[in-house]
Amino acid sequence: MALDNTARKRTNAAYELEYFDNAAQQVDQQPIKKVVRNPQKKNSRLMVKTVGVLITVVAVCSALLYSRAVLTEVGDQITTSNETLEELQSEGVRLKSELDSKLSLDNVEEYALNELDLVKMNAAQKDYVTVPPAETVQEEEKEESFWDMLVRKFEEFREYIGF
Amino acid sequence: MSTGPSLKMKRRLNMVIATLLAIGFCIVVFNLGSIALSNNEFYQQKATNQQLRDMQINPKRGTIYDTNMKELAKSATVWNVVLSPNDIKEEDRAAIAKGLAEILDMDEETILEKTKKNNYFEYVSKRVEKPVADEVRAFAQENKFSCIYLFEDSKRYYPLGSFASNVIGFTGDDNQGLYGLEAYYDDVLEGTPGRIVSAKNAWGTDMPYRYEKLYEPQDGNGLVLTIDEALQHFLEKNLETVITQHHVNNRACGIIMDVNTGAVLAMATKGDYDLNNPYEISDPTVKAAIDAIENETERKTALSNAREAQWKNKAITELYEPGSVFKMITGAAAVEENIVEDNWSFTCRSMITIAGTTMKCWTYPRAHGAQNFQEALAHSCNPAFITLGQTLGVSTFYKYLQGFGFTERTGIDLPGEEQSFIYGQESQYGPVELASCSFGQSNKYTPLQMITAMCAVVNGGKLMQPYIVRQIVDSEQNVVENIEPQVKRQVISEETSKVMREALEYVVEANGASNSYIKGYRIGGKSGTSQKLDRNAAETEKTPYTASFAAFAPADDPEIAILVMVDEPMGDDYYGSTVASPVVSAVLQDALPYLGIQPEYSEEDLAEMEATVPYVVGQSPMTASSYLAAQGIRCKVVGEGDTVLRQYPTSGNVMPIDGTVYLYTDSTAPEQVEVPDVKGKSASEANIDLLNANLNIKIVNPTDNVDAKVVSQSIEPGRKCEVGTVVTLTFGEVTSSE
Repeated sequence: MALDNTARKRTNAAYELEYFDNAAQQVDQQPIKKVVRNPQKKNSRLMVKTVGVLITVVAVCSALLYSRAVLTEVGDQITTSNETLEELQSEGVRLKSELDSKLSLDNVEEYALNELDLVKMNAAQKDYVTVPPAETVQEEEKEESFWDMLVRKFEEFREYIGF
Repeated sequence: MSTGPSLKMKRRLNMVIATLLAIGFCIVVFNLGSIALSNNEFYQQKATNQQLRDMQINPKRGTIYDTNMKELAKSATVWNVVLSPNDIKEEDRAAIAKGLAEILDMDEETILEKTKKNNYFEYVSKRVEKPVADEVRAFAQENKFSCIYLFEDSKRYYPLGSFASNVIGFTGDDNQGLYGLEAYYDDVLEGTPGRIVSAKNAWGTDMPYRYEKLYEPQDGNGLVLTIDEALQHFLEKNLETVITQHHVNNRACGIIMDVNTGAVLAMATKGDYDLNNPYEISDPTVKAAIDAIENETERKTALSNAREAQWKNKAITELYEPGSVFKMITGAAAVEENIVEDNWSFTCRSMITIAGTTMKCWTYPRAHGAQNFQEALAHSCNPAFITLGQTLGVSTFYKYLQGFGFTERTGIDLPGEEQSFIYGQESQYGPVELASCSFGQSNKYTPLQMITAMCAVVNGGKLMQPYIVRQIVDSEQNVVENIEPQVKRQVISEETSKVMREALEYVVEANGASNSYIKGYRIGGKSGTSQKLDRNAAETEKTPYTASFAAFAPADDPEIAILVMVDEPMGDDYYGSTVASPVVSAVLQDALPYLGIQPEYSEEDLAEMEATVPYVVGQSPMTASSYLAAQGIRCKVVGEGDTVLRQYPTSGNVMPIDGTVYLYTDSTAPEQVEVPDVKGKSASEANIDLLNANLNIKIVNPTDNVDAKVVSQSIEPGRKCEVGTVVTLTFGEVTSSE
């Protein structure tokens, strides 16, 4: 029986002679040209990007921290101002109470009588005038005629419509 | 031959690891489910407690205003000075004690003792104000004393001191209302506390803005009272005067009420206390008596009783027998029941016998004789009103007692109102009890009940609900609630009320000054004097009486009513007409013009007007004389000079028209005369005596009542004074019931 071409190929564990069989084919194949950029340039761009990202992250974090700090500081200022406001309001209440106390009707009367020698006005210091009794005119009631009634109704209607 | 683990072994190992991982995962999931689902509330609470802390924010207590929005009570922040003794270094103790003693005006030894205590929180001074707190703070910071702390607290300010003290009341250490309106409206005034819930870190301090939730406190609402500051002042001022003048043993009180609405325009009790120091005894005599008690327990008890006594609002917490003032009630009932009609008449024989018991008229043995209803009321005739009571009968009398509100509390919005003392149930009244109650004895009522009933008598018959708060406002003074006047019931008709107004006006006109008559005004009223039957002379130096007077004005269209009650006047007088009536008169003289009610004088009144002495020194006698004549004043020239050098009375003095001014034109010394004693004399007798002594007379409360006598004179008898000096006389008439 004829051996298969493949079977007839020599095999040798030491050598992979099949490799050399294709060598001639391989020589004929054109190498695929691949444009490879400058690896150094690629590296520097990558670095720039990385640095940029890092800077951005740092900036954002710093900004966050700074805003927190400012917020806390302003919050403290607001709290302090509110406390001061409350204190001053309380002081205002106390001072107003003191003022009201000094200006009580008792004190005012005592000061007027004892310090200023004022006396209450009495009837003798007023001039009285006699007012004549009010004069009145009494009109006799008349019966309303039909024409008068019409006029009155018309006036009422005009008043009603606001004309 | 292979030396590593086989595939099978690797698979087996993977299985074991996977199984262990799965078991672990299941356990974790199970725990997660247990924590998050079954016990979530427990762990949430634990987390909340650990991570959050809350702080209460105290609300501001509401402000109390008078009817014109004048502040009567207001709260503000103050500070408590606290020491932490255990943190004090030995070498700093003395310096701290000295410094704080100077700033707080306290005893240095006391503060030094506090610094030696074994604790971390010791009060040094409570409720110090901002200037003092600032000094303490500066002292602590300067000397780097970290053991001195200031904690915020709240203090109630009462700017007007003792003004309306028994009505307003005061607050305790925890800002809770203890008396008066502060107690009654405590839930309105106190507000609702707020909270700040914030996150805390592992050290327990706040993490601001990590998490914070604020629940705003709701400040307390304020009260706008019906009390008018000016009217309250007039009432308090005159009550103070009567307490001093008549040596009152058991305080005096007064009420001014709006007749038509029941609004309390003024309510005062004297002796009262300073609201800013409520625990201080204001009466120096009582204070001295308490300090003199040696036994510690007895002294504390006496101090406690004295405080309670001065805090009580006499107008609503104490009962009294109104005496003859009550006759207006019996009279109104009789008129309403048509017992008193136009031709009604009663003959007083100075006494009356009811079921074997003899009751005398106050004029006994004199009798009033025949009198109509108005005269009987003006004379305050006891037998007349006993007869009216008997005619009414127990059932009808009791019906009006209930109708006028005497058997129940008025329900005013103040704490501690006392229930009246009624002799007994209707079934227990016999004719004698009825007789006694008809003229105002035996039963006891509060002054507030009496004035409320009087308002019903004169306002058309409507019994009004008395009230003292007219509005509730928030901290921005926006109205939260309006309190409107309420009519409790119609007790008598308008016609009966009109009859009573006229009758009570006649009482004042007929009795003149002894019943608060004021020229130019139409006033109605009734005096009352009652013996305090449950007290006796053994307890006091004299027999104790209660003097009262109730009035309303203007009589034809009443707007205000006033009642003054003086409890145990121990001076020479104890009658309502001489003790309480002048107080009412003085208050009305100030109050009526303040309320816009001006006097209207008749021609007769104008003819009796007074004149103010003008200044005529330096003028010629002729000119001075003409000038004085123009004022209606006569003059007498002493000396031969051309110029008036001195005048008596001096300018500014008020005297009646036709009085005499003495003009001195040379260095002649003014003649000195002795003032005669005119007490107890009639107007004409006093006039003659004083004119004969070349003195001028001025009458405070003129009257047409021929029975009126001089009860006081401004210059004591026997004193020497210059001719022409004006002597002011006060007239009065004795009116009492037994």
